[in-house]
Amino acid sequence: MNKDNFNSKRREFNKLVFKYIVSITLLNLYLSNGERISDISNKKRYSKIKWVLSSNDV
Amino acid sequence: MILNEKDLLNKKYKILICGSGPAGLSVALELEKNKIECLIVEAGDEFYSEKAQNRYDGQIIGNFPNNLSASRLSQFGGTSGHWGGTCRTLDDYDFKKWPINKDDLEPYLQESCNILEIPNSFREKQIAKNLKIIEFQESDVRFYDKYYKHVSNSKYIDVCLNSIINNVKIQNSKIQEISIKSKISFSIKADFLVLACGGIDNSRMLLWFRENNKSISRKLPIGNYWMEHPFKKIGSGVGNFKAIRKSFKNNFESFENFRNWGNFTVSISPTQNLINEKDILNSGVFLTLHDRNNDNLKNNVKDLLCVAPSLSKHILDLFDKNLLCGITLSSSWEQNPQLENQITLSSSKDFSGIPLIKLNYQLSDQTLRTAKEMVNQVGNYFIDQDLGRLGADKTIEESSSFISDAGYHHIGGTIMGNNQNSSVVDENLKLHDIENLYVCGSSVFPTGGHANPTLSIVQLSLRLGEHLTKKLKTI
Repeated sequence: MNKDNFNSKRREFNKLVFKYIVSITLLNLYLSNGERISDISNKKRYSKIKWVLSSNDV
Repeated sequence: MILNEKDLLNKKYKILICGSGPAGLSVALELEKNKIECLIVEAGDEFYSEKAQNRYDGQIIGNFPNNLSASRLSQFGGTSGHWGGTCRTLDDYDFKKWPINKDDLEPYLQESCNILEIPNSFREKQIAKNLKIIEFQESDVRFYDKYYKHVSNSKYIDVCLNSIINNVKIQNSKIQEISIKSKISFSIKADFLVLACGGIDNSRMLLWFRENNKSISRKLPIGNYWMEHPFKKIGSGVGNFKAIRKSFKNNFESFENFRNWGNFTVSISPTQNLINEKDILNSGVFLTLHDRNNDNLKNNVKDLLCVAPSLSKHILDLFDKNLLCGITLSSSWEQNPQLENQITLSSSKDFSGIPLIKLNYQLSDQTLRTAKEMVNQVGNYFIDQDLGRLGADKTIEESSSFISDAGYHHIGGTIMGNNQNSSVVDENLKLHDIENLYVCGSSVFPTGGHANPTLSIVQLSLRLGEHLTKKLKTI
């Protein structure tokens, strides 16, 4: 492999790493932001926990 | 003294102990105190060796969570070489199906605590009609580190490593000769043989002896009623950090930060009243609080508010005041003795020619019902005290699909009792059929309670050492 070929492969690899980091960061931001605790109760979600509740809770 | 096999040729011992773990060594220490010579035959080496460890392989049928080999250690000091060190005495109501009671082990408690280097303090405090908080102790003792040098210099304790007892010759209901396979094969005589090779191998050795000796009755339920301590995260919750700490405030918080699971851990157990009333088993529930940065908090709040929207304001209020915390409920609890949970011999053999084991293992509905009831009880306590809300993880709903994490406490298989048809050893841990064969370790527990078994194993071993001392005086 000559030097130009090597540099081209390296740039491709760096691009891939950059895309990966940006995607993970955006995904993290999407999952962690934009959701306030007070909003959560308005969503219909499947509960993974069988809660022990009082009659006033529901 | 550490001996090799050639030193043992033509020797006779008063007591021969098979296994150098906490059970075997504690028997030997008690005999040494009474100036009685004994020999410990240890299948493993001074340290871990793969060859010795491979003897612990076996076949599992059912929902058993662990690798049979990884949970044990075949070396001097046995499984104490990698145990967690958590200690607590059994509750007095754990002895309901035992032929002895808690008072019979009490005289050996202080000495057992000395061996394990823990305070003799196992307090409890009732916090509600059905619940109590309990105290554990943590031992750092590794029996190799503490006793190898001591045994090497002992006048009364001899140890032969890398040696396997592979048969016994029984005549007139008495063991006459013990065959040992080491670098060479030879026989040795002893007045008494004590099997202390662990919660699985005690059954395995007895089953193997019975294959080779008609004197051991087929009626003895050897290998049956085998148990573990299921261990699992059983629930989650959200609550008021300050109020919870205040509510569980006690003067034995040494168990706080138990295994660094969270900011605060308290251990909760059912009262005898609850066990009887609900027909559940004994249980230890570890309630751990996490700080607000923990993922548990966010997930638990989301989950709670989708089924209990009325709590939104209250939760938001706690969140704003920085009082909200996530909660994890984990538990290590009792499994009821079931005949079908048993150890049998497999057709494969280890390098010494002794069959490996086959373990049948299932959890009963009562075992899982116990976990659910405990979440329910602690959950209702949270409601009554306005501490927060708890719920059960859906993993504990179905016993057929439930797989525990790690208990590593092997109990039963050679259980003690008065009846020859339903137990293997008597109250002094002597095999019902044979005059001079004893079994020691958690394999003799008829029920397991929830407490980690090592402290009780050491208590029983010291008691056996004292019993053998008295027996020798009558010979």
